[in-house]
Amino acid sequence: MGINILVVDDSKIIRGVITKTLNLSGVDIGNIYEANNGKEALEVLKNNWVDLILTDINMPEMNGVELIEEINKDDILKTIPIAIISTEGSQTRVEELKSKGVKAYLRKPFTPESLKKMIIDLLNLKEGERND
Amino acid sequence: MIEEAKVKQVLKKVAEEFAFMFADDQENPSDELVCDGLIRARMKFSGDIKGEIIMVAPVELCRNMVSNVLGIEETEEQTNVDPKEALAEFLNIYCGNLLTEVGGEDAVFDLCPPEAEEIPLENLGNLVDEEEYLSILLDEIPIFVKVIIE
Repeated sequence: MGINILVVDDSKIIRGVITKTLNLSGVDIGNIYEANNGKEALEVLKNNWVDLILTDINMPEMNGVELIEEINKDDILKTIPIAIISTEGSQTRVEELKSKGVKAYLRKPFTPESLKKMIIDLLNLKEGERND
Repeated sequence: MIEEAKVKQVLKKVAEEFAFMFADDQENPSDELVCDGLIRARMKFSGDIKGEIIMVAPVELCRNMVSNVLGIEETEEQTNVDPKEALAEFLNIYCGNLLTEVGGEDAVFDLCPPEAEEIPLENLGNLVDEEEYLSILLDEIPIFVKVIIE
């Protein structure tokens, strides 16, 4: 059974890049769910189980920080690893996000290799759990 | 005021790393301006530095960004992505990288989501005459950027 991933970003082009990279990563991917902002992400999480959440910070309606705060209110959802993929490069912000439970941070622009490495590290995947 | 060299340096870096486009300086931007439409994207920011960045680029350049970033040819698939979104995301990444370059890694900023719209071609003349806009060529097509610090 593959890994289900939720990609949250208001940019369709970034969601496309992430989805394409995930599908070519060699990781056994199940479903990739997409959301345009934090609000849509919470709707997806109501009806679907995901193993990993990749989210941007800067989004309209509900941003990434607000999404994380909502997720942390739920005892089950807060067990899902969250990684930030954002343009912001502030170490102060990164530390603040890690204190809220964020497991990893990848800065845009990112390479497919760096995204793949982050996912493998985050999910502690071993060779047998990967397709490549 | 952010020095011109830094504005261009970060623009080139983001163009090459995000859009896989070769960036080059240009002598006279108006010489290169033959296009079928323009897109303008703008994005405000606050925090340790407050201001706004505005970018203007031909639609053709934004379409090329979509193709390069997603690794697709000009097909049906590409038409599903609005070229305005490509410039908006390019600006978003540029803004974050420029502010970190200028303010350092300890500086904290709040970035507003970028907004993009098509603008009339006749605005082009005024644009290239405005000294506040810097321009470079991306794969030989000009892009204009204006950084406003309050």
